[in-house]
Amino acid sequence: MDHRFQVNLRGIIDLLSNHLYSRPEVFVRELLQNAVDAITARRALDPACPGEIRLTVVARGGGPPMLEARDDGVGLTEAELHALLATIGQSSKRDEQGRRTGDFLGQFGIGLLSCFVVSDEIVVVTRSAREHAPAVEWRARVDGTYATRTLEADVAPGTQVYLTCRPGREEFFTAEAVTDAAFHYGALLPFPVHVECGKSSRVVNRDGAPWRAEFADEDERTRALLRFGEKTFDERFLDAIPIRSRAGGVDGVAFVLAHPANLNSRRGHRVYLKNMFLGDSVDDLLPDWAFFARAVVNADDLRPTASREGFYEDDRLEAARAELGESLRDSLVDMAKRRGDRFRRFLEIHHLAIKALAAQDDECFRLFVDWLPFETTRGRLTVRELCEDGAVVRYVDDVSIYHQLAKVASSQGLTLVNAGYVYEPELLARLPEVRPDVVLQRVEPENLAQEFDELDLDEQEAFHALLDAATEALRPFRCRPEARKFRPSDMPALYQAGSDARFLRSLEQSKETADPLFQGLLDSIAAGRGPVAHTMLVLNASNPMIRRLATIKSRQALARAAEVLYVQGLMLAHQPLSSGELGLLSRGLAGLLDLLADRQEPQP
Amino acid sequence: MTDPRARIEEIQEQAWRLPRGPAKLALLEEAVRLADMLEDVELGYRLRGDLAETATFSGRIDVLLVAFSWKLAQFDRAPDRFSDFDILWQYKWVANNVLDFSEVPLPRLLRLFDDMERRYREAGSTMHAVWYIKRDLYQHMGDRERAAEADARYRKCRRDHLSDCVACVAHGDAGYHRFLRQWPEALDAAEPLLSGRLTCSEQPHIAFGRLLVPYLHLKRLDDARAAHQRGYKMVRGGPQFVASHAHHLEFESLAGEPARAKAMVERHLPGALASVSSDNRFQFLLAAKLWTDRMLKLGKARMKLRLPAGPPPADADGRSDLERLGGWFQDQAEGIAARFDARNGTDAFRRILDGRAELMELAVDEG
Repeated sequence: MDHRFQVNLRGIIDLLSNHLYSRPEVFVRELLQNAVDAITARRALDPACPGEIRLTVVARGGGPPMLEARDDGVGLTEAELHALLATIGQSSKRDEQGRRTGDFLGQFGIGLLSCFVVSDEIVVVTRSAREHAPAVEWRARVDGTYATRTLEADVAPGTQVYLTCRPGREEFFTAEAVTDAAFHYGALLPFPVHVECGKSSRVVNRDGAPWRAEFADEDERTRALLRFGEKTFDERFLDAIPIRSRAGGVDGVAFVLAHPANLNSRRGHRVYLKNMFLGDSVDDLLPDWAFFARAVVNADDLRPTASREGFYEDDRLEAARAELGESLRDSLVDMAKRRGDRFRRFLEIHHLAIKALAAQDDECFRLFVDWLPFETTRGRLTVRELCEDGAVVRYVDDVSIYHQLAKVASSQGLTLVNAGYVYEPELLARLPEVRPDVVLQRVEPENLAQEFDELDLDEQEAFHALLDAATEALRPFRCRPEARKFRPSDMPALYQAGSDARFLRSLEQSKETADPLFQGLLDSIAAGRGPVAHTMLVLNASNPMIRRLATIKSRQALARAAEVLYVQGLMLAHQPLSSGELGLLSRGLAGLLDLLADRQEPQP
Repeated sequence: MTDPRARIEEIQEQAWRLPRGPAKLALLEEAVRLADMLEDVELGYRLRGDLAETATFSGRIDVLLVAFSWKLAQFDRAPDRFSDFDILWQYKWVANNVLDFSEVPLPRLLRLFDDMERRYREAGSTMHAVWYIKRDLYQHMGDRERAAEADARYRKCRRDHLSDCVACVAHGDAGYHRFLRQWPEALDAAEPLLSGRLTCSEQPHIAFGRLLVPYLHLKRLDDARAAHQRGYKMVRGGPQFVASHAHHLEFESLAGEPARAKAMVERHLPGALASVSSDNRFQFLLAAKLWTDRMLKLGKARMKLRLPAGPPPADADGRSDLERLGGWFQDQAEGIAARFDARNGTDAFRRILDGRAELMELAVDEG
């Protein structure tokens, strides 16, 4: 004998509300969807049908509040209503792509199920526009029982759904909650959605999709879009850029964030399918470089995912994504050409995004390169300003080397560009393609010294002994001394290490502590890097102390002094000292004491 | 002079906002130097942890090794002071990547895996992660027998907290089947990645590229195209994805648009040649060679190319000779292969070189 499971509808509904529906007010979406489907079906019969949806909150003194959803759509006959009942719980499956399956009736039933989340009883009063049949009432309770009856009263074609608030769900039965939810799900609907409560009545979607409306001019349109963006995301935006794609039938707006965006973060875009809300945490709708934007779009022809929270990944979505990216990019290009002020304001905040775009799109590189801002020792300058300045653009592609060099460079009156951040080195390296007159110079610490003044012949003579002693003393540390004249003159010496040399320092440092296995690995890595880079200690021949030092005769004293200057240089460059280098300090000090002692010796 | 601790905090704040890559690395290295100046071992340890992670996922394995060996030494000095999970987890990055340095002699490499195994055993691991990573070692050496043994043993071990995430393990399995030339099995293993059921920070990004050759072998061109489209944009901007760039370049050369493949060569060759991993360079050089072969076959012998320093310079008219360029790619790749084979005492890389001709037969000609 066959048996049937006793299905507890209440339990199923609770499961649904806790797990399937991300938010309980999803019943408003289903009510709207049913109304939209019904109106669409009626319009097919009678194109003149007005098409209106009314959601009415009825506060009842004493009793629980109610919600009435009324549409002037196609309505149902009694036979259709019975067919609907047969489908509830059976065909409540979506197909693979998440489309509601079956006919209009089956969908209607599924939509109604979600209403049990907030109401223990659902009453549907409906009259078909298709045939002259009486109106029908269907009354269903969450325990799984229901009753139908025909009504005597003459009602207009269409459907009304009555929900009675379940204890504990009062928050969904206020005019505010219903208005918010109706706007959330139905802001783009082409039929007016009225929300009524007592004497008040308002249309939540008066403007439909604002980007499809007519405006007097571009500025007025932008203002309207910005208002819509603020209402939708509860966030003020800098700008609003319409976007569209033929593939997938997508149109909408990209809202430009008013604050710098993090390259890593994903923005939730808000998407509608056939003007009905689908999801608000869809990422991956715009290209990666568009991380400055949050979009609202409607698609008429993309497939939703099974969970109905986003779009199904297929060729059409891929094509739509590419087209949306192009349309956004074209708008930016157009803005740069026609609305320089607006583009500048945009770049002020989102230059990183434009750099990303320019780095991967040749045309954008040519169009935007002059606008791109860089951090320099003279503050933030655009490429155009940098190039005006003269024929040579000097840049550093390592942030910490930039900080190491910035002060000294600007003391010499040199403009140094910090190109250490993402995309910047590759962008600058391509500058000669569009600015053939500009000489581009990548500055490494060791060649910055080339910009310092050389010593004249007499000075070279005077510094010979010091340099000679220093060369020998610093050789074990792979550091080469040089003498130049630079500002500030109170700086006796400057330690300079390129990225290679700095890496090797850190490698040596790890080797000092590592166990033999890892010491060996580090040796292998170092061996793979080829010849060892030198660091440099630039002695400042403009510095009085260094000038005095150069007059000392004792080679040993010169060597000790060079070692101490080297250690001082390391410390000023924030380099941790190895044990050998720490040894230099004490040796230098000891040497100094010896010298003092020597001086005092002749006394006795 | 600014207060070093304040500067460290500033750096951490800045670094947090940056994507992985050279800028973030430079900042974290600076922070590590400052912590060392302060002689604050715990801070230096923590910052090196961030540095090691950034280095690993920016393709700077040399930097990883420097940071990690310091950490490991500190850990051994005071094991109670630091998390053993953290150090054992990062050990996998080291083991996984040190393979790719032909400069590391074999005995040293094997000692590293032994050391890792000992430490995992002492920590009470099920050895799932160890056998899993050893399978990679033996694949790299072309040792099918020991790879099969490692494969069988890792599958018998229970997953534990030191195991790679399930998405990465699925990808590893797919790679193992690819190594064995079991194309349908490779696709089956990767199915949860492709369908989006399993994801992590590296998956499915790199899975798509790895499956392109299996798809081509199975003549599933539409699936290959879809995987190429979805996968390439996920890895395109990542400096750590050199091998994936190579995979997608191969596909574009064989079955896509040669013009787009040219742009890929220009875009990725500088990063590939600068990669510290010989294996990354090897893979990309082979893909670039495949591209020049295809272009020559299509009748394009000379063209303007944006190339980094290294390859033969362009002729006086600014055009590069693709035959000469291809020859250079091949020479470089052979040099790397010879060093790897000498180090490993096997001929796995020679065999890879010899098997390249077969790839050309997968080419899909227009029309």
